[in-house]
Amino acid sequence: MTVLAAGVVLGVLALGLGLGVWVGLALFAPGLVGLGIFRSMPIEKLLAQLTWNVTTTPELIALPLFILMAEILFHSRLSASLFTGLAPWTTRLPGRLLHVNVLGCTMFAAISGSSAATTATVGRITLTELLRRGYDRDLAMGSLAGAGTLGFLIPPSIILIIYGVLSETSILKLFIAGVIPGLLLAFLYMTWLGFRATVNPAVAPDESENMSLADKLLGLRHLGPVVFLILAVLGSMYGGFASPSEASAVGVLGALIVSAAQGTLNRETIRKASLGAVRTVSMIGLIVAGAYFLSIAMGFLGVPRMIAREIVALELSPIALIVMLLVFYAILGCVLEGMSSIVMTLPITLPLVQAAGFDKIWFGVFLVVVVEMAQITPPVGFNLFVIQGMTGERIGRIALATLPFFLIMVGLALLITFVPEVVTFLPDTIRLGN
Amino acid sequence: MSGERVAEAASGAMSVLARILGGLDAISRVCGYVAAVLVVGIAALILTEVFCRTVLNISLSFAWEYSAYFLAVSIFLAAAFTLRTGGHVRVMLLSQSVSPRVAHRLDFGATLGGVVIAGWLAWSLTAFAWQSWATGSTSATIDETPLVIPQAAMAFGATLLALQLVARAIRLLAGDPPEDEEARREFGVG
Repeated sequence: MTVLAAGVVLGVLALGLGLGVWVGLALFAPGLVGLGIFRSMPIEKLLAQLTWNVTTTPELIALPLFILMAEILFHSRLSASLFTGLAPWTTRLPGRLLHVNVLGCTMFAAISGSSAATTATVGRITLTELLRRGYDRDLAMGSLAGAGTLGFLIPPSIILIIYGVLSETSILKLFIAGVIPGLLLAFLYMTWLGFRATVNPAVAPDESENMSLADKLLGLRHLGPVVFLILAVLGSMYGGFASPSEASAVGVLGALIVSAAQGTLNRETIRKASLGAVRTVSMIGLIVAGAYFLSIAMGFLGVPRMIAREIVALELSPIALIVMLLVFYAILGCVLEGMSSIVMTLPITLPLVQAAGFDKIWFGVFLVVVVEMAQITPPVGFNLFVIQGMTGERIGRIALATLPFFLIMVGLALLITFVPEVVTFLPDTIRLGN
Repeated sequence: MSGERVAEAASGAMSVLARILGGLDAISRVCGYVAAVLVVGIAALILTEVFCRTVLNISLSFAWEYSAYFLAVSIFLAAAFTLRTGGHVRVMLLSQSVSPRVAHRLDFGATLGGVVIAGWLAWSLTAFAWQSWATGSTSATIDETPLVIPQAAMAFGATLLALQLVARAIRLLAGDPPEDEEARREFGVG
């Protein structure tokens, strides 16, 4: 019976998504059909009650605010000042300005919760500049696509907010856990860029704009707005006086101040930013509601328990289980957008992973790395779409340019699997400190 | 003679239909704008709460309660506008690998599927709001907000989404572009 129910649920889900029904709506279908056939319960009441409960969760309030903040910054001159401030410091590194992609994304990720927003905002200036100056096209596009994904890993992070709500985990702890893997990933990207530039110096044109140290230090003032925003958002959270939701509101205020200081704050900016934000909020909100309904419905039908039993019967070691999940998510990530693939599989994978002895916080970060991989795998990869929009290049070419960065990400996923302390060290230590 | 009349009547019906679709678009757009204002309102509420708590040492419990309602309402109120401007994600893998004619049919099928699901959602949220109204249920906070207000707004948004999906099906049948491309470009930022 449960097997049949599982078949119906997964079948309806695959059919809906494959047909092209909008993800936020398609996620409701398996629960409606499955409960309708196999359980006699007031489905409409359940549907409305669950939708109401999850969309009014207080922890979710950080979501629209971080999105709004990113939208306001997209319409400011923040990316230009980020480039001007960082560029002089990369001249001595092999690969020179290519590193601005990674450094810029790392800094911007600390104030943005989304990968697509990070890629779009940072890349708007860096990609144009790099290509204009004759840097290697593939490395410029690939490093942007790869580094843009840091938006999800380095806090704040929209994915971690949603994971926190659905898995009932502390969002603040998840945010802390993402820091070290994020910085590590940025370091690995820069190492790869340096390696490529050392082997083949032609990837970076010879520009000898040697600035004096005084000029470089003076140039740092361009980083002021970004540093101010990082302090406002992360400082208020880790300083302990604000929850993630409160920090996101402080971030919106900070973004408005930066936008005003740069002279880009006007009615048109606010109109575009708030409408752009509400479209993303509606899209994500509907997906979260659908995923929540799906997870409860599957629970009623006993699907996660059954799948868990089957997997336990395979007697996989915990590591083998994670590697299996890694492959599973990598394949899923090719056809599905990352966040959707996480929220719809979470009811099944989370209990499995917890039973195998893994930490919920650790799994959240692992999933983010996996989503980041999905973000840059064709044919469906949002960062690739963003870069396609900027360069007009074919998706295949962009994906190929991104491949090395994808492999580095796989390496990171394996690293945190074998050395989970990379993720858990910081949240554990800070917990002790309190 | 009679052929002309049929054509006239048909074009008359078409213009009425076009007007209805245009009206639906206008309502969707207005609701999108209202939802955008609500999102800005969440920022204002939480900022006020932070200020009152840290500086004035006053706790504003209603700020959290209303923010949560604003979020739930904005998600649904903006859903139709988001659909019309191509903002909801979908898997296009299959439709990209078939001929345009088959892709058009797939799109129509997906839209009908969307109508059923959104309709179900709209009906269930309406019944939910109705029950809150009938029993006069209020929030479990000191403000005792009548829950029917946010719930009815959500139900309205879901209904609008279902209607916008019906409109999309009609546009596909008529061979019109299903998305508002201009608006999509204007707001299509990650």
